[in-house]
Amino acid sequence: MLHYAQPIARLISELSKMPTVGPKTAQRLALHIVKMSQESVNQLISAIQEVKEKIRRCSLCNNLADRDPCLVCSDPERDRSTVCVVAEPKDAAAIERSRGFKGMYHVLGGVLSPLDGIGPENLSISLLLKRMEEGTITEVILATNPTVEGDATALYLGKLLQPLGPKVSRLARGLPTGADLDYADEITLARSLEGRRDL
Amino acid sequence: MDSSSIPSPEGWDLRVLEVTLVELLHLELENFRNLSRVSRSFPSGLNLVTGPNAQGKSNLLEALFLLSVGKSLRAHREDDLIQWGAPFARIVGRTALRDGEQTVEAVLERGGAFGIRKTLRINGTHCSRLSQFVGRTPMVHFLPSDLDLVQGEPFRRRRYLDVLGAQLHPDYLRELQSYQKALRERNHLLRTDPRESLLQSYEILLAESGSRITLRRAALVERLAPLAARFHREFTQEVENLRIEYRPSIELEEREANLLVEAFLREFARSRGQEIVRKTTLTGPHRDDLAVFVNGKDARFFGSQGQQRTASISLKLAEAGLMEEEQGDPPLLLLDDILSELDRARTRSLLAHLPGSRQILITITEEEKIRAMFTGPLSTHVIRQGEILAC
Repeated sequence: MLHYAQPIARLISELSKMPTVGPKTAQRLALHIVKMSQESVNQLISAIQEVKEKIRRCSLCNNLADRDPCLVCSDPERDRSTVCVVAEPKDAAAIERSRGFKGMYHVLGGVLSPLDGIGPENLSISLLLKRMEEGTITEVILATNPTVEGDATALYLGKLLQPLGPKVSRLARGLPTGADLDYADEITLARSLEGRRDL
Repeated sequence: MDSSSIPSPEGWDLRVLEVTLVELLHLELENFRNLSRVSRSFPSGLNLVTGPNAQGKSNLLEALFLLSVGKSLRAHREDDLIQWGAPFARIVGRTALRDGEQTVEAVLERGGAFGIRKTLRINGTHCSRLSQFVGRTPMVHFLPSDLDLVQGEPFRRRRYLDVLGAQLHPDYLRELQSYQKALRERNHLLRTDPRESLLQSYEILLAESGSRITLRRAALVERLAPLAARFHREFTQEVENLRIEYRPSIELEEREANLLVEAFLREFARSRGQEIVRKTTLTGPHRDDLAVFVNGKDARFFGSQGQQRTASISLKLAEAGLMEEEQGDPPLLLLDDILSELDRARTRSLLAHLPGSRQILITITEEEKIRAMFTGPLSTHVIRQGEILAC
């Protein structure tokens, strides 16, 4: 980045540390920031600062929140007997967007991945077990991705939770809404058949 | 299709099917190994790729086969496929299919987390998964190392089944990929953190995925067996009997997927202790083998080298035969330097028993060797120092 004045080069180098931002994108963003009004830049800076100051982990569900307990955990209308276990905050946000779920969440903060050095200790599993001890939870929905890592995590948690008594289920995997049977691959189709439901 | 499109070797009947399909129309290469720039059309029938050694003949076939399975079976490192000093390599094939033409493209770029970024496209549409790409351009690649198929280590025979399985069913490849992922994870745990509760989670994944692969392979071998036996009888003029048998890592008494899953889980439970000591997973499709018997004797251990090589050829021919049966069309055949490894009688016999592919590409240093055996027309492509000479 010798071709840029030092402050710009520094900004590019900072931006390119972000996920999915390569050197080209970092350069475009940096040059855009140079052109932004002072006010917009201040807003961006204060937004970043606010996130760092105010966002913390909810001590109940481990989701990211600006208060503790978080909005969901402190909402008296939510069903406290059902917990949906997800890998990341974005997964809880996706389920929340669907408006189809009125229970509580538990955010693991990742999935098992031995090759990347991520074991059960690196996930918020003990916190989940502590919540189970309180006895109000009667159903746990394991909503990890249908990947090797997601499946292994769900299987591991299932083994851990089942002896404690709650109903443990896994998200159904199958055909996306609006999909054509014809175009579904065999694995998806086979799993949809396995998970079929009575009418 | 005109059955005269493949020239017949003198004195032999060449079976040519009426309906044939995948045919390479045009191939374009940029910076692929030593081939800086190639743009060449390939007619139907027999295409001889000739030229002295080390000029790029095999590289041409390797590039072409990459369009079929999305990777090279020759390269140890994929960045070796990009010409030294070039930032990328590009392979574009235009093929004829029953319902029109298809453009298949592979671009390899240096960079990225794995040292290389690969982009695969079919008709301009990006295939984000390998399984969307594999099987769309069926080919059988016959390399000199395939002559060791019977004599070599079991992994060669597993790869033989996998390359075929993946081309026939994209799901086979996806299943295999997730199996291998789970296997790597479990083996890592066995080495670093062998807690039973953790290992068991991966065992369930391996058992489910492993049983599906085992059943697929069993079905594959069942279909291959009669084809291989028939090719071998013809090839040896009724002198030898060939029988192949799937040897799964686990007793295959039950063909029911659920029962097989149970059997795998029992086996894991039984051998877990030993696996922790040996730090590796001892059961599963990654330990499968294919047994090959010639005249009732296990050819890998008791066959002569000639018998082993002939049996290997029969297996490769069966591969092409099964693709033809399954897809209704014979695959494009790529014979890399095979003929120079065979004596005249075997060459003749092989040429006579090639499946009815409409198009065959053969690399050979002395084209006279083949020319003498063919009466019909054939096309020749001379490669010299990484370029195809105009002719």
